[in-house]
Amino acid sequence: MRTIKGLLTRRQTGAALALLLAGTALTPAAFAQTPTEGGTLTVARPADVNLWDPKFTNDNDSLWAQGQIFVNLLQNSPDGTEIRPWLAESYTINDDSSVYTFVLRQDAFFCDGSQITADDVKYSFDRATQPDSGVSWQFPSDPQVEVIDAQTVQITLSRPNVAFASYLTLWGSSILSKAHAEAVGEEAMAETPLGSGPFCLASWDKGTQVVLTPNPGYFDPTQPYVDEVILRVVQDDNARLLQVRTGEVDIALAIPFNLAAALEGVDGVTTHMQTIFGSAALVPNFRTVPALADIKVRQAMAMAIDRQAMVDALLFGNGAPAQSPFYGPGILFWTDEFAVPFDIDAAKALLAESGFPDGFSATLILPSGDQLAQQTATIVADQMSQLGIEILISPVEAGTWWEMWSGGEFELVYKLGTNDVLDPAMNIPFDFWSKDEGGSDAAFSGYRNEEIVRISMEAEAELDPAARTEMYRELQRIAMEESPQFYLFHPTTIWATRDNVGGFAVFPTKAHRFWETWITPE
Amino acid sequence: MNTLTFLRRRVLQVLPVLAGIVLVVFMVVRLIPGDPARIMLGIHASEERLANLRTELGLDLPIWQQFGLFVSNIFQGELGTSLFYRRDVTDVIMERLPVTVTLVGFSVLLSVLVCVPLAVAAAMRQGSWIDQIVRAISTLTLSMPGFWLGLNLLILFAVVYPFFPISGFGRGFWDILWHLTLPAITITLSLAPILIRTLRASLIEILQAPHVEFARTKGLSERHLIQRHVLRNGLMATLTILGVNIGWLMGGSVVIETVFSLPGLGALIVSSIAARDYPMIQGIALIFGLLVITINLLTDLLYAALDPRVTYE
Repeated sequence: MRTIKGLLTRRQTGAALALLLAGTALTPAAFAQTPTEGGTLTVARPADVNLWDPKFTNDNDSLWAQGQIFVNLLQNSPDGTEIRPWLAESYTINDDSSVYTFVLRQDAFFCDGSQITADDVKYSFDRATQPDSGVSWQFPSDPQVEVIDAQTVQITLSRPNVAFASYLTLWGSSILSKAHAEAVGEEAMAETPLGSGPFCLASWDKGTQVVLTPNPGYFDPTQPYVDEVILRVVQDDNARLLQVRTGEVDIALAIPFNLAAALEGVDGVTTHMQTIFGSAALVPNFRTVPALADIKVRQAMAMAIDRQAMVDALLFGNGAPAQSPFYGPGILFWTDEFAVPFDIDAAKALLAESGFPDGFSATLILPSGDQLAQQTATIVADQMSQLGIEILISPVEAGTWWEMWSGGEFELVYKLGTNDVLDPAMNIPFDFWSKDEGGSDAAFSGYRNEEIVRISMEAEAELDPAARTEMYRELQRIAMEESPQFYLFHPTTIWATRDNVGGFAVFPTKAHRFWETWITPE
Repeated sequence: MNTLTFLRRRVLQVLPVLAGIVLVVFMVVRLIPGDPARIMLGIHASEERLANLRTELGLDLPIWQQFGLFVSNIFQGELGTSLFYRRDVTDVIMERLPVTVTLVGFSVLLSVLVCVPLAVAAAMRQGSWIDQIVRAISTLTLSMPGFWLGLNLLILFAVVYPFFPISGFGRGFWDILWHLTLPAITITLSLAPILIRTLRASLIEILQAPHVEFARTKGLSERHLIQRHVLRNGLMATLTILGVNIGWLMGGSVVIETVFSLPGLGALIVSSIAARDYPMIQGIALIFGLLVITINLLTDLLYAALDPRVTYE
């Protein structure tokens, strides 16, 4: 052991440093600045994991937990602006974006110590694209996976798709162990997964909590920082709030808008918010309501909606008005230059010029029990009444609401859509394409704009970002002009952390990473 | 007829009842709008994927064939695979069943322990202030919604004065009892009033009966009277009410299970209906049916045990 010569002895240096650190530790901001190794992180979530098999998962609480234990070929950068290699050490795309070649890391292991190889990657993809898969929608352009050698995998698409790489960051592309699947059988995968990512599933006390521990085979030597993550099930919103307040949990997720204020100014707790890639919108049915098929009527209605008032009243100011068909300002190629102004007089003038100057009546269906939907509908109905348009609000059981909407048996429907990746291409088929083209008849509205469809299909294969920007700009211009949906607002997700928690953030995709989080002793 | 014959006959009677339950649930759940495949795939469901998924799940088979498969599975002791959890329905139900049964059992025990002394006190001193208070409080708690009651108890005794845990089921006998105390109290506050009123009314009626008057003239103390001669009679009507309510509690516990975050069957069936998880809904309905039938059976056995006049005929 070397002794420190010089001005201070080792002990004096240590004492001086301790004093210095003590001073900085007093400010909450400095409290959790540098990562601390060790500790247990307890998180309160509104629901339990339902299953651990990504192939059949489409519910948030399951997929965010799965995201902690499985690795993907690629991941989003922490600031969410670009895609980075993860399990893949590097990757190349061919000239027309139809062939993706990945070179895998050599130092990646499953929770049981076995190495992650190209065979596992192929197995995972083949499985996820089977007919009974719930995540086959994450693989547009029919990817075919080929093992080139133990470290190299090649994915060939049936048609060029520039956005394909972003889908690889989703949970459907989680890398699973082929050997494990063969050993335990398909059904057991839902209950006993073998982790490939930063954490392993240590225990699952169903309905109560999930315990995760670091994967010794994970290739990043510095992360995860904590020794243990406990995902606790706390269904009641108030209870979650109270638990983070008393310090019983370190992080509380999914704090409702109306409760966030209760945490303001509470010692030891900080509330955070993030506008998500999501839009609340109303979809009109062109087929069942002739008035809604009239472009002037729709333009009038779009102008009569006070979006900012909705954000202020419903989200307590925590959100943003939606002025684009794309799901949020952070989405690639988003622009609000075609924003629709809030102008009741202009709206009335437009309606007078339309085929329905005396207004009309339409029923708006929304999922019952959804508070935000109910309140939004009430505000819209009130605003539309100023134009002489009568909106009748009809809350409907969630499964039935979805059935009516997808069956075209509605007049107006409330929807809250989300974009799970940065690329807008994910939702464009749903919002604008026909069923034959792989879409949903423009969100089941019956709207059809050939130009938008043509542009968006070309944009999927367009490699030049500048050209792609121009194409999507034109798409947004047309969409804002024709108003095939009434875009309302982008909501926010709110969460609370205790001040000794650092490195935790919820992304606009609502995904989050506990392996980047640390906790300093309080 | 002795007990064994009676039991055998009752078990045989159970079968058509269960068959009826199974058939009705099977049909009803498929009649309501909502397609499990579409719900599973969400907005990303293309027609092709929907068709594929329906085939995989056997949802596009003719209804009678689906029913046939379901019934033959039951005879093999299988309830199918949950569309939502992707595991055996039986496994998921067995994980949740103890929670609901323990909760209901604990609540019933508390209710009975509370009900008997209060009803007896009220009946014996009919019209007195004790009687008034018992009846007033009963009416009060009975008319309060369970959800509201539960939330208030939670905030008061788990947050403001943290005597009890906020959520969860717990592990180990005493831990579970501790976790279930507030939920059980909430249920008791709604169940006990009904029992108290019925028991009190029966007791009052019996206390005025000739044979009881005669016993009094013989010099028997009130206490001896109640314990040996009156209570057993009075319990009959209350027993019926209790039996009916337990059956209702099994499924009705969903509200309490939600407030206290208890992973029970009530919450499971509600979420399964929302997800249109047909195998799970059918499975739980079957289990509920079995539970209610068993409780009815036990009630009848208890009748006979309490009242020798009741035969199994």
